[in-house]
Amino acid sequence: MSTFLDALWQFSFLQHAMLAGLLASIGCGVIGTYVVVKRITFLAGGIAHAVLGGMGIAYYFQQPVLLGALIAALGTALFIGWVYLHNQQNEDTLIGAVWATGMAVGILFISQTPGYNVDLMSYLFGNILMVSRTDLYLMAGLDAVIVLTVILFYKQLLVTCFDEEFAQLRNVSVTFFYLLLLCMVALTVVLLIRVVGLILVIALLTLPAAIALQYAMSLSYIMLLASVLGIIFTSTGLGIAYEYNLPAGASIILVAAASYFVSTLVIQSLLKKMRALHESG
Amino acid sequence: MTTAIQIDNVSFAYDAPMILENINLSIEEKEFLGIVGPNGGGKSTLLKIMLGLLKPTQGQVQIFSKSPVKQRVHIGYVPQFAAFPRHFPISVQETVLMGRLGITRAWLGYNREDKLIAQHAMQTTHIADFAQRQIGRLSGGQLQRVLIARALACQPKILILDEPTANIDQRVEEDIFDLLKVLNQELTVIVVSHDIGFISAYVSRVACLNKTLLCHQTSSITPQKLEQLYHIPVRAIQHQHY
Repeated sequence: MSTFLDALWQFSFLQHAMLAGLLASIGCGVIGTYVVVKRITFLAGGIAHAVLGGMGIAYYFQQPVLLGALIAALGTALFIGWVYLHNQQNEDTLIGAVWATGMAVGILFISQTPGYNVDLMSYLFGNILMVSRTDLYLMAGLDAVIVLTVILFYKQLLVTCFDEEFAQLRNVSVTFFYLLLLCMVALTVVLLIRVVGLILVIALLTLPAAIALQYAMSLSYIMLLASVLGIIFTSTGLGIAYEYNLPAGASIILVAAASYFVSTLVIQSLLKKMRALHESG
Repeated sequence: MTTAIQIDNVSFAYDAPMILENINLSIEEKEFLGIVGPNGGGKSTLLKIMLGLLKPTQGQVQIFSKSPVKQRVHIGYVPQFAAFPRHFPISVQETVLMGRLGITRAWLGYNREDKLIAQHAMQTTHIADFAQRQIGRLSGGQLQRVLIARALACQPKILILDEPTANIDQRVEEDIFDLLKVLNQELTVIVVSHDIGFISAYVSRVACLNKTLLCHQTSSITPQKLEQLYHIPVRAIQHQHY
């Protein structure tokens, strides 16, 4: 561990990586909370994977890849959201179709791009050690947009997640706020691509919030706790990856997943037993 | 007396079969109206039309002489509580505060006035003691009171309740109707219920709905009228049903 801390002191790429983990955790904690309570994990997964299509096209036309990702993520979010609001019956099939189409388009375009395609792997699985200063500014900007939007519209987003019918009766536009929420999911996905890659995005988006949901009983506390957990997971994962020379994205996800299983299977059942004892005694 | 809700020749169908046919009903201000009828008889559909959630295929509804969509901020609506996730991480107070939406400022959180109004609504419905409790930890009767408090936080002129006592026991049911009776001194109250025998002791009028408005009696409540309300509609509904 001490070698990691020494290295962190010494190398700016590690400092960038730590900062990237921190910035990603904020977006994840806030938006992941909505994804978990609204139960739209599969939808978020669809957006994350469809993003490859946008990245492939941008890559082929030699445009900034993250810009392609951003456009694809927002486009997919609006498309899936629009279908959800107008025809709820086949939502899961549709998400599956969008998911696969996006990836297929991405792979086609990347295969047709002349040259050596090493970058593809870093977008699929992330490369937190390659994060540049510009990436950090971009991530901080996306975080600011997400946090500001949530602070401004906290009550509308809450009622949209909790009780759509009541929201409509109070003249809160469910269409607008649902699409806004999905667009923020899309922004978060783009935010995370650098850190863990699009294949693992869903884990970092949902696991910290899912753990936080087991301990905090209000949306704002869950967001806060999930962000803190995200920071712990990314920095621990990064440390392990550095010490044992492992891929960083996968290490981060495994730390998060292990914590989730320990929390769900061990701590929660212990708490349940204690509560039962407390009530019977 | 002013008319709170005016329903003229309303018919409704999603596709082919008519769900509501030629409904005419006028509800006075501060009336306590019960709507009863069999499952699938169109009760919830009629409520949704009154709330402006559905548009009638024919005819029109006016609430204080304007369209339901324009007036719905003045309606407090209490849904059947099976309609939303009970394990949602939200407290009683946060749920009640939702009633302020559409009235309070659009940006940022709720203000001091909203919180006072929500507090008052929780006191009226006797739930102020567990304002911070998560809704999943409430009993059926307590949750029903939370939903009524949320509707009261809208400071409504009309209170509409859909099967408010469907999943709770008899004693709590009486408590809730006693509360509605008190609220009725200030508000127009409309209750949809499956249990006509029970609600007839509270309401000033009963409308029996099974596609058409079968029975629709105005009455000053006398024992004879109650007897009549209890028997005739029930028989009429059964008749239609089989």
